[in-house]
Amino acid sequence: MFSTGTTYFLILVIVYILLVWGALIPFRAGLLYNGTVYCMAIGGYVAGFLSKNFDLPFIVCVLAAILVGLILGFIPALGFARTNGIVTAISSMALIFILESVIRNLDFLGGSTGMTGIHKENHLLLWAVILLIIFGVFLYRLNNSRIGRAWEAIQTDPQMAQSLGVNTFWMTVAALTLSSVFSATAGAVYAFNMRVLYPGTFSFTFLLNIMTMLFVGGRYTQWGAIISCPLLWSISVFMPTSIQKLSNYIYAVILILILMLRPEGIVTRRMTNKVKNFFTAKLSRRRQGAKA
Amino acid sequence: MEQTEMMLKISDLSVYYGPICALKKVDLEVRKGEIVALLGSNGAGKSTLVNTIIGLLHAKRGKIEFMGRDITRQKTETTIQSGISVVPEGRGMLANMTVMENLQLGVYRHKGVDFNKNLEMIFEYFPILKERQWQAAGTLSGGEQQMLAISRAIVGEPKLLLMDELSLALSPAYVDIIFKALIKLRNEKGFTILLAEQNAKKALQYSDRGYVLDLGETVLEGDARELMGNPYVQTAYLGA
Repeated sequence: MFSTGTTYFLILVIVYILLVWGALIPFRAGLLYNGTVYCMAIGGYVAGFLSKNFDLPFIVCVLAAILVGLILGFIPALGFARTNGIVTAISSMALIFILESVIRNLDFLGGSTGMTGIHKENHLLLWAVILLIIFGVFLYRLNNSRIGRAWEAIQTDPQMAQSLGVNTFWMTVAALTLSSVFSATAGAVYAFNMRVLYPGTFSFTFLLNIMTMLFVGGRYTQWGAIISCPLLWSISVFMPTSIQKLSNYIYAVILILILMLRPEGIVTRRMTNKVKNFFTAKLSRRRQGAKA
Repeated sequence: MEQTEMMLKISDLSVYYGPICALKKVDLEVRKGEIVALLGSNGAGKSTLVNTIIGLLHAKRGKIEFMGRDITRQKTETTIQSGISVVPEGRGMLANMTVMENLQLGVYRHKGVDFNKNLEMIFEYFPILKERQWQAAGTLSGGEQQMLAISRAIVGEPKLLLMDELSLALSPAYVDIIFKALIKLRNEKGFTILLAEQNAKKALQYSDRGYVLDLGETVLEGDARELMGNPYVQTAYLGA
């Protein structure tokens, strides 16, 4: 349907959206969690390993990546749920470096030279879109559920949330674990798209890209990612080669400008509330009309 | 008074912040259907007591019993679930969430509660909240926020309502409106209310009994009318 280049670009955009959502979920519960890249690497290597060695179909690899990501995301979450603020941010960042050196020393994952030989999935874009829709709808439903409200309460005031009966510890663990699921899925899609994995890819720079996209798009709603990911990713892809080298600087400038001019990001809560209220008001008016 | 059921019984309760003693051997009883005022100036230990009851703080010594069950070391969420709600100091608004979402959080732990029915009751008491239900809670006025905080606490049909500094930063007119609504609620729904208040005059005017805390100790207790006439209370809290 699309040219190879466009397909490649669109899939990477979807990967980024999933990752930004993965970073958004802990943020909703008031944690600046930097473990997204860690879980992405896990997802990527699990999917890659299964595809390369056992020739399993794409969806099986994704499910396995989700499962392993869930478990390996849950274990550190038990510790992170007791921390907050800068401590969470720094200590979760450490996961990236730990995992990187672990992968470099595991020969069956390709070590420092990287993992090659991941099988080609012909309908990868279709799969990626399906996964994006499933996760998007799930996240939307979740945000407007009892759990989503509990997270938002924790973000605003943990003690208040507690005195309303929210178990802040387990809700935070749940947020971090769910974040791992999103990131691991993104990693699996990434692995099938690149078909080569290097431990160095899952680095601090990658994390910065994700965080820039989260903060530029809007860190309070899930819609921000859908705007910021294609926008920022196209800078480093479609720009002339001479500018591409500067993409990190451009990201930094955009991030600073956004934080100064529009601290909540492009899509703010007020914007989404307005849209939501417009529809709910319309609905309730229609309902009242039906009653009368 | 012996015929009415005991709701909350606190005995010999001591709470420390590190080495600092915030509550020293406090005894307190609240019976079913009562409104009990807990008076005291800043730093007397009122909020500490409220937070200890719901388990946000932990007692070093002593016992808290709720409806005959020991809740001293119980987790906060279990205490909330068993029927204690709190209107925290400074209202505890979740400012970015809508009025409706705030109310929905009021039944977070309450199973088997008819949320829609209770919502209608609340909208009857506080019609302004119905008009503002899709607005962010932070955009409400102070009085409306206090109404929302109370509504959020009662929407889950608690048995005991703890209120911390209800009258803080409210105009006297609003304080009266809110206290009257509380009395009406108590009479109709049979709530029991423990009211931690600095505004002794208003609190005693609307409550049945009162306790006076000073530097973490109970210095006086008794009937609200008696306390109002007590010379110590008059000089220390009523400015007479």
